[in-house]
Amino acid sequence: MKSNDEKVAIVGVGHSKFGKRLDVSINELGWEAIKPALQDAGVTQKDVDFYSLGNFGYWSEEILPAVTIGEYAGLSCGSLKTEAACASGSASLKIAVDSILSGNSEIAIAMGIEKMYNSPNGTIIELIGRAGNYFWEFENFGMTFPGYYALYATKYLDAYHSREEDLCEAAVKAHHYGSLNPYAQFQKETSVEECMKSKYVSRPLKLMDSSPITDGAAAVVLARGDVAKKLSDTPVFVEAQGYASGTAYMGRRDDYTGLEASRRAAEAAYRKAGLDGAANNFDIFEVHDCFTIAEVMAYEDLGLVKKGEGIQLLREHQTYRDGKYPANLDGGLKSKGHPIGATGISQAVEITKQLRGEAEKGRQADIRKGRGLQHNVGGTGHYAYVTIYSRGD
Amino acid sequence: MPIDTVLEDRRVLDLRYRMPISQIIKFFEGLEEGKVRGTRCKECGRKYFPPQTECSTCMTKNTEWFDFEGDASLETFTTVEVAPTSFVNEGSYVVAIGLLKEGVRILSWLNIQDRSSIKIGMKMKLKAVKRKEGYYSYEFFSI
Repeated sequence: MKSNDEKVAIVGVGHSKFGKRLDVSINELGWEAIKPALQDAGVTQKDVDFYSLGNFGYWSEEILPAVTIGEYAGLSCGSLKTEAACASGSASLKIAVDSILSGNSEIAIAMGIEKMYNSPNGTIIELIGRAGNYFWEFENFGMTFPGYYALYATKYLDAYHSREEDLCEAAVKAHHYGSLNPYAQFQKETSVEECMKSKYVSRPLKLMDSSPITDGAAAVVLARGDVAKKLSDTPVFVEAQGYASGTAYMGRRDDYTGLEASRRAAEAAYRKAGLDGAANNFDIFEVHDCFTIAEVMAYEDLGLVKKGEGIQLLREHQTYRDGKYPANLDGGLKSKGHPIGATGISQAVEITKQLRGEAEKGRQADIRKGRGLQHNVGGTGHYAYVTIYSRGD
Repeated sequence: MPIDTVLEDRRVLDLRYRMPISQIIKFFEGLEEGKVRGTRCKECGRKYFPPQTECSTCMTKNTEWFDFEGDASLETFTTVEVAPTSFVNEGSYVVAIGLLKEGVRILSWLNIQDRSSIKIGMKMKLKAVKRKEGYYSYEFFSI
């Protein structure tokens, strides 16, 4: 059993409104997350020993956002920017947690931000499409982010005799919970029919299978366990993190029906936490649903169900709030929005709110086991991070 | 909704990389000769595509180039309908992953007339091609 000073807990959370945020600069957007996180934790900037910023960048003008945002927010301690594509937020969390576990910090901030709308849509599609294996996949063949996941969707639907309508069920669930989340980019319900009518972006994936382009920021204040107990009545401990990297080149993947890096990251997280897997240990899941197919594969890669059974979970509503495995009750990447570098921290904020019992009306899970699981993928299984949170009671 | 005010950047960056290919120049020479090539470690036998001239398992440069015969089967595919800015003039295009007879998988475009006839498992041929811009690449073709 670890003593409190060998643990790290979240003691404060902050989350900006997600969406097209051309009303604010990247620094102003960062502050929208940092300010409430500091206030929630009851600490000030001088208490913070280290901060990390998950960010992909390229589409926004600042090259050193950790420093420009830190300056705006009055933070002058040591810092860095982390890049793990769409899992940059989880990488930010890892670094901040490690700074505390190593004894170098008592209190640290892990944040994430993305300011995508500072560039035109075509440029964004170009930049994110380049984030695979540029030389062998983009240069000659113009791969896109939806294109990568579409390769998996084609194979999955064929292998498990599923239909595009089945994938749309994930969009319907996402939009249902997004409609209940005041921070979400899309706060309206959708239907399988509406999803099926949307245009193809990369067959078989349609616009309504896809997470949107999003501006957003999120922040968590972390503290060493003994400090956290003094700061908060409801600390949420970062119990374990598992991580793995897949290949960049798609030809070297062994399987196009699931993400091998996700499976390895999950196994590592369960092992570090001393848990026997996902099925019986968690009240709440945050899974990386950048596309509907990604959510289905996540259920299987995390071990909630066997391969090929992920769609069945959706059909039976088992990942809705009142099902066996409540997942993405914040609307997920699909409806809440997917500001690349902020997503991992946004998921951490959501799990903290859920475990504290502070989620908005209609989307609070029943918390009995006191544990939540976060699954955050960078690229198309290029990076994978699985983080386990616990109330510690 | 108020209209957001943005400052349009006055500085324009033309981003074009210089990508070193000295170690894999035989790959590009092969394309001009109509061959698609990979490398193989002479010690452990591991085949590399993308090609690399040093085996990261054996940590030696004892590798050789070999030409793919081109026989492949389709593992998975997608039709990209919304293209990145630098590909907008291509229209929509089919990207495929093929498993070559040599046991290596390659991602490239699939050149096929009737897209509705594409089926996972179908036989394809990988060939070097000269693109309309004048440079050499490689593509799968339906048989």
